Amino acid sequence: MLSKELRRGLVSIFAGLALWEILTRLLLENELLIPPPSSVLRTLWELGATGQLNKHLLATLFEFVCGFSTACVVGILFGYFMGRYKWFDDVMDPWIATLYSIPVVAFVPFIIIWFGIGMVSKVIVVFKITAVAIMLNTAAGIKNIDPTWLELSKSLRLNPRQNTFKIRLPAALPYIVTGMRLGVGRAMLGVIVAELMAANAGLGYLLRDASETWDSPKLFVTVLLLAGMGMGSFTLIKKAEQKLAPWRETAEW
Amino acid sequence: MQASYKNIAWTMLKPISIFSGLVLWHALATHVVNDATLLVSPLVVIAKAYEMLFVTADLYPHLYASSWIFLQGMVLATVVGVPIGFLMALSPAVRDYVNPWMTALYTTPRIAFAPVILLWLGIDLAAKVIIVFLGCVFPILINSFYGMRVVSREFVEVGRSFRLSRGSLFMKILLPASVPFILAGLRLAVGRGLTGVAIAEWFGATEGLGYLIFFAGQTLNLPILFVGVAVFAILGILGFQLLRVIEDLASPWRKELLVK
Amino acid sequence: MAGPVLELRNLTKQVPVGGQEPFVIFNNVNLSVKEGEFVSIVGPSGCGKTTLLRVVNGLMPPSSGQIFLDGKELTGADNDLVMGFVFQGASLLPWRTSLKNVLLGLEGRKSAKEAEEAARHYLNLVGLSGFENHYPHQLSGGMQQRINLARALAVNPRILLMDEPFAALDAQTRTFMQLELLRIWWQTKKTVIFITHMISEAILLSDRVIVFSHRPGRVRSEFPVPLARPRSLDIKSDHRFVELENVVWKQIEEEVKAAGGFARL
Ligand SMILES: Nc1ncnc2c1ncn2[C@@H]1O[C@H](COP(=O)(O)OP(=O)(O)OP(=O)(O)O)[C@@H](O)[C@H]1O
Ligand SMILES: [Mg+2]
Repeated sequence: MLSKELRRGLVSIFAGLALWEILTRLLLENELLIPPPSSVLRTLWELGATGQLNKHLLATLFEFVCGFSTACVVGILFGYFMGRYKWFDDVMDPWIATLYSIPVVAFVPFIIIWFGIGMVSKVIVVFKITAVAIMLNTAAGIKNIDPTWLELSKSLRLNPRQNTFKIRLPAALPYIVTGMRLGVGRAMLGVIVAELMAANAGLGYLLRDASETWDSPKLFVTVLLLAGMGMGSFTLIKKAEQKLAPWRETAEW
Repeated sequence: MQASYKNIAWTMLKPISIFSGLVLWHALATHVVNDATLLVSPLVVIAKAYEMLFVTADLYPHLYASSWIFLQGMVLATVVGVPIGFLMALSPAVRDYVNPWMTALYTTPRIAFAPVILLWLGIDLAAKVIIVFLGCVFPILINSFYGMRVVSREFVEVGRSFRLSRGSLFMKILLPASVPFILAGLRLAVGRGLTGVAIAEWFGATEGLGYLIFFAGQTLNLPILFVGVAVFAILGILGFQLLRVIEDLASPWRKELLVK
Repeated sequence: MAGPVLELRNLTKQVPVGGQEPFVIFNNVNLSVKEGEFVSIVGPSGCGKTTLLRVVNGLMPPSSGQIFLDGKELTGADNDLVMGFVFQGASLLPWRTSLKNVLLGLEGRKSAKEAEEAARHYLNLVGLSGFENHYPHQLSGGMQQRINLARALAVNPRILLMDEPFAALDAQTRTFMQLELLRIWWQTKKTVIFITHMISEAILLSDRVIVFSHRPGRVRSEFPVPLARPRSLDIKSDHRFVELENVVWKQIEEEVKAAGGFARL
């Protein structure tokens, strides 16, 4: 028995898709503007069969995973020290805050000029975006720790290591995960933008290729893949959030 | 005495960090890289900014074009996002039916929609405004939704116990309580809207800051590239701070509510 | 002085639980309250006291049973403002000043001038004239509850429902607020249903103390308070006060044990 919520969601999706299929078939002469879902699916299948799908999807995923995982390590480390030591925060903050406030699209050209059109530049884009978000949030989490917990730690005579790993970091965990969630969305945008600007593989490249050749089924396939990737990473992060910080109510979106 | 010297040293850290960073950047550009297509000194960037602002004044048309798209996109996003957010908060049925589409639209990297929108609408103002709109509608919508839902739990009972009519319940309780949430949504939308502007202008435009950056990137004109990026950053910070001020003015009681 | 002001007959509230037996919050509650009477309800935590008040106030429908006000049955459809509700939390609207909070129930029911006069009168009654333009966050917890009381009184309700209004206050402020409530009640002679966990508070304030059983809540017993009014804190050392406090405490203890111990509340 499905929940009411889920049932309505499924009804809504299927109804929407059916409407789209019927309308495009009845009303539109050519498929250039809006291809019906069926031809989008067919194109998806063809792209898969020729191995193109694999190539582009894997390229983007690879760039994303490399950038994201290094950003987690560096972001938490730096964020922790920014939160603990005021002098370090003072030194870093002007630069991190500036980096944070530059729109994703605006700094991608630099990265490409400096690091070329290959995968390295995309990894760096993802890294930069996520690392900054995680750093700022981790620092906030470490700074905002409830002083009572620190007193508790002192009264239990925890050593510095225990103090860090049993009190401070767990207390900051919800913030860290929030940083990751904010980072994922922006980083996804960043990697696509970078691939769109200059690349020879990846979903962003595919997007550009499809729109330059007016191949609208392929364009829609790419949009679909990006939507899938967006929702997939979002769901993963939400799951991670529930696992890592179960004492905190997670956001619905 | 000792302490106050120490204090001065502490407060100087930030400016020192900024200054030495700039010096390092300058040294790197002039002595290490020494290639104007890879890195230029901050002095060159400042000179270029001065020129574009006060000598040739050719920054303004771009600034104007981008601001115009940005404003239209934000207004549209507010007009559409707030009511939908409210509806979703007030009616579980609306929420359940709209939710899957919303999640899909929200989690997909927005740039994916840009080519589709350009395919449908062509390269004109409407397409650009819609791209900006897509960027900033979700923070506004989601914050309106949360605001309305939070209050509907906390304060609706009070209104009902005083037998307020539906209209008064909305006007006196639901709406005022959501205002700070809506403003917070607008604040978050500023950054995303600016990204939207850059994307929109980037895909097909002959003016605007996004075009400027794109053009400078393609032609390896680093001074202009830096100026463009800086203007974006400044606009983002200004917009964000402006909304902060509006928030404080519009709801002096807000801090209390958000702390709870 | 004919019949009771409020009468509850076999009032029951249960909420459906997916697929299982419905969850009974209170069961067959019978209670009648006379004009100008101050009645307190005490009972173990979670026995459904708040829910009872909400049902009485029409914020949620009863599952069965009837509520009579001045002999007329209240149905879900009636929309008259006949009861004032003082909520457990402060529940003041943070975007409204003290005065505007008190005005909430008056707006649209009285002319603006009359409404404001009434609001000022009740602010004065609770001792807060001069604080009309303060926002809730600028007031102490005790002041906030005074506003809350003024807001409920301002609509001149037939009955005042109060749900643990002083629970969040510190012990001293709480004692002062109890004395204030005694004074205000003496001046207004409202019919009041007052919920509290504090037995001494119930006895000090009330004409009658009702003890609720553990969940599903029902009236377990009731005790008239044989102490003369106007009262002061001195009555707390009166032997009748002390005896009553003990008896009520014994009963609550029994209810808690029957519920499986206080750790399970
Ligand atoms: N709408 C509801 N749905 C399900 N359960 C509810 C609902 N409302 C109340 N309950 C449950 O009914 C019980 C009684 O709640 P209520 O708040 O009335 O108790 P109470 O006597 O006021 O407790 P306390 O003294 O702690 O304030 C609780 O176990 C609560 O979880
Ligand atoms: Mg209660």
